Amino acid sequence: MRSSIGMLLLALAGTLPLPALADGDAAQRGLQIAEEMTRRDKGFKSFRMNMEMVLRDRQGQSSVRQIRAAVLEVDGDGDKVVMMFETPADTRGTVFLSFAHADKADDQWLYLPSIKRTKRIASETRAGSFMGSEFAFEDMTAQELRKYDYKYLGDDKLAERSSAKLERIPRYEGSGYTRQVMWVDAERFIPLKIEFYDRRNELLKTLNFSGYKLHENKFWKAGTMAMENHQSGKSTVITLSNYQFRAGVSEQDFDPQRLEYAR
Amino acid sequence: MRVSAAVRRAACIACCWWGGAAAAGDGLALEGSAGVEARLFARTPFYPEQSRHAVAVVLAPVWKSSFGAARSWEAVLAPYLRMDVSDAASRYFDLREASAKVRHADNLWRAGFDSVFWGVAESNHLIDVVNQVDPRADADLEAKLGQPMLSYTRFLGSFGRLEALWLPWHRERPRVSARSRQRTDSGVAADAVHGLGRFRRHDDWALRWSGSLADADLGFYVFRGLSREPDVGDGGVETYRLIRQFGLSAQLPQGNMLWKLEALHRRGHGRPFWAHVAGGEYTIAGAAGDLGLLFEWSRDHRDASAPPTRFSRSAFGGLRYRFNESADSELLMGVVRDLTHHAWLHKLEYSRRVADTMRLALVARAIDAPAASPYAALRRDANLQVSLSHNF
Repeated sequence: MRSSIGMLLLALAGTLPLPALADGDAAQRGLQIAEEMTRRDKGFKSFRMNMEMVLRDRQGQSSVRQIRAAVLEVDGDGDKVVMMFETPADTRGTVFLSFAHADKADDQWLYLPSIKRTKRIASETRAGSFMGSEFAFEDMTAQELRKYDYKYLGDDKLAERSSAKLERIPRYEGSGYTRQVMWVDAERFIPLKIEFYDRRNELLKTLNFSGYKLHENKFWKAGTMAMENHQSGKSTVITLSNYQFRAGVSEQDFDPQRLEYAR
Repeated sequence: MRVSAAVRRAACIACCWWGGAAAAGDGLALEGSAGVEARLFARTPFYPEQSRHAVAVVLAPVWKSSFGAARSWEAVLAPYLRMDVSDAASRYFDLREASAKVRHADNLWRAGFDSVFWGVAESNHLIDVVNQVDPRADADLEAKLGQPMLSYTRFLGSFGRLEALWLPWHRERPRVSARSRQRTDSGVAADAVHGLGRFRRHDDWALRWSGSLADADLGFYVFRGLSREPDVGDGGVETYRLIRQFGLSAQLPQGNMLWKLEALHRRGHGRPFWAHVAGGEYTIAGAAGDLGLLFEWSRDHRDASAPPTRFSRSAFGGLRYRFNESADSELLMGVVRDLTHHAWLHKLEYSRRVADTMRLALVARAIDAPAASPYAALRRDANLQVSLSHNF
């Protein structure tokens, strides 16, 4: 019921000039948009995909990482993700497993093939870099609804698409951000762009989503996620391809006791 | 002590079978590394016959083949070849892995040469018992020989996993050659063995459970077999005693802290004794990189009749810094304080990728110990190790 009101408000917002909303209303509407995003992304069960990360430094030097990944949806909690590294060659066979949680630190394990050892990682600080890239761990893990407080900031046009501007403030410990501003596609309820503001509330990074494709007639998945760090001059572009839904993914693929045999 | 001809034959048959299996597979991949390693010493050696510097070429290819979906097969062949440029006795090869694995649902069978790692600590691999260490390949005893085994693993879902291992051949700890600067004994070491080294037919057994309980990762095992640690008798003769050992490992994340514990109880080396290593790793993640603070405390209650250890009472402190950048640079600084022998063991390690497939590693080591200690022969051996490896 709440989400249909949100839809209605959003539909109206596209056509009518609305007076500025009171804070309570802005928060309510922000949450409704976020809820709708979550609702539309629910029910995918599992998928596999390939990721290619291109890391660029200030001098323009780049390096490429290729990763195979599988994602498992968990009811009532964050998703489980397993990533298998293929290049660079000295990281081949490394496996990263994470159980995202909305209300506590994520569980993380790393399997190192050279010594056949599975290491537990303890990091409540989600601001750390994901594999040396401009993506932080908190940018890579599941975007659970409960992780943020929301505020609707108004409407905007982004690349010819109507969108709602949404501010979200992390509620969890150890975030590197005071706030994020997200542009949400008004029709498809998917993120188009996110601006990240650091602990001093200065613009740190911008993430642009593009190349969205519809899968299973329901799920919009981005083909490219481009993160630019305005403070360091570095950037990371992730290209996502070969999405396969329910491609024989099972709970076994996310067992920390089986990381050595992950595939 | 006799080199077993049977095991050579078995290894040969395994290799032939492996070759056949690989040829029949739907994917044969070659991975691995090739590199050069130089150890440069500031001072002249302790023993006159030791050579001053050491340069070696290391080849470690890995052939992998897998096929099948529901019942999946995997065969791996990973020889290790190390050729010291100036010391013929330090040229050898080993089979790090020559194994076949069959997986079906919650069952995993494994046969052949393989290695397993049991443990959680960084400074002291106390409970890691299955594989023999290879001191020739790594001065820090991180390198291991392949262990012939037949193992069965049952995955129990949320109850973890249970693994039974039969280890039918015991492998002796390789000795470093008389010319090597890793030598610590005054007696002239037996000539280093080329090829696969010595095997002794002995039935060793291990049973291990590992799994998670709440937030903690736990492991328990029982091992019965010949010790991997040699007793050195008169004239440098090495023997291995039958031991029975219980081992425990635990790690618990708590915020940014990871708590670690390894403990063992061993019978067979003199009076039965306990040993443990406990510590933690605190991670501070930042924009430029992640800083890890490491600390571990080791205690070992073995008596004088057991093989000596540097961990009878020792503390370890370290800093690890991982740079957030495309070259994956990493810096590690560590020091072990051996309180029993009043020694400091320093280590500084830096590594980074220098090209897509090349990695450069620098390791500096120094030991500060009294002349009347087991470290006497190593006091002059402060060194810098430079290695460059190509990964494919």
